[in-house]
Amino acid sequence: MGLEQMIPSLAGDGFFTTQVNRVIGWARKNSLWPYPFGTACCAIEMMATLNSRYDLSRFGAEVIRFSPRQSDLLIVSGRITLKMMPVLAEIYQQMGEPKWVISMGACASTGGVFNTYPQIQGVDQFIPVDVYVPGCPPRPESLIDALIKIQQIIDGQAERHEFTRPDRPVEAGVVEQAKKN
Amino acid sequence: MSDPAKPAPAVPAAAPKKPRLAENDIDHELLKRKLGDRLLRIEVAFDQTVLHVAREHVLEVLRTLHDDAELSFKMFTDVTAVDNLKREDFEPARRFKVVHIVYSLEHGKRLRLETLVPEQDPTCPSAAPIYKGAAWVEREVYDMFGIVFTGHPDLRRVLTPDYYEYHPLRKDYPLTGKGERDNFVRAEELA
Repeated sequence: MGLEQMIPSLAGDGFFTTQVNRVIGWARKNSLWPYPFGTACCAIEMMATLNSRYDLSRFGAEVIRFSPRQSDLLIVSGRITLKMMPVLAEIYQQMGEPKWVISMGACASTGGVFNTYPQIQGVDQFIPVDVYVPGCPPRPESLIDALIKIQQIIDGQAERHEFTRPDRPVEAGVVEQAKKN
Repeated sequence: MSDPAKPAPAVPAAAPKKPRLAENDIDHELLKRKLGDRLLRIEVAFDQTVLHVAREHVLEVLRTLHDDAELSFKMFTDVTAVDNLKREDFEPARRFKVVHIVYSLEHGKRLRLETLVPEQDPTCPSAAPIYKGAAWVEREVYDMFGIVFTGHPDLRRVLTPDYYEYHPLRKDYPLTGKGERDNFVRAEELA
């Protein structure tokens, strides 16, 4: 920026210049608070990822919140059924912007082996998903990789000054539909 | 037929018969005496005693099994159902079979009751007045097979959502459903 050259008294150690949106992005990506929507065996792997052996807190995402109001990363880990989909959609709606979604494992992403009447064949049909994690269930390393990819997404959004996500309208339809039914 | 050059194949020794479980060793004569002509048939299937009972007598038979001191089947293990639709000898009057499983803690005996339920009138008397624990499992049978248990205190669906229109374990319901799982609408399409 050259500010340090213009004001000589600012020059020296412990000083740098940047942009506010990059600082916000840096703060966001290193303090993700996940909401664990664990419904099946993927949740066991998610718990392993959070515990000391894999230690997700190395990436600043150890503060698990059980309230959607306090979280900004939704980890959908497990089978989502007909009865659970309106619940998941409501949880997603209740999360404040900005928010990101990880679809963890084969069942959440595609329905997995459960091509049956109650099984939602991929939650991305009804809520937006940022990162998909393959595996049945995925190993903790895969979930860590997904978290790092979410951090890269946040970096990109900060660079582009995307502080909310106008391209992703709130999924009012899912809950309305369930109430109608 | 027998070739002298070849030795006859050794006859495999018969597999040792599994010892009969004590809980399956039930005095049929006692049951026949207690239940009388309300008992259509008594048989042993998979080593377990099965009573075949007409639908109108189910409640009386369960009452006798529960109350009688010599029988004392006080524990209700399960109630489930079978859909006979895909059987070769299917006929609508024998569409469903309701299966009660009861256990006698006092005597250590287990018993199965089978009742046929017709397609046109899929109802069966509820066992809930005798066994309180039957209420929830009967809700599950109602949800999955659509068998209505008359006299049930609170017959609502238990697994599928309240708005569900079908009974998924019936054999004429497709495995992948009738589109219910894809029936949620995205906001973009609504707007």
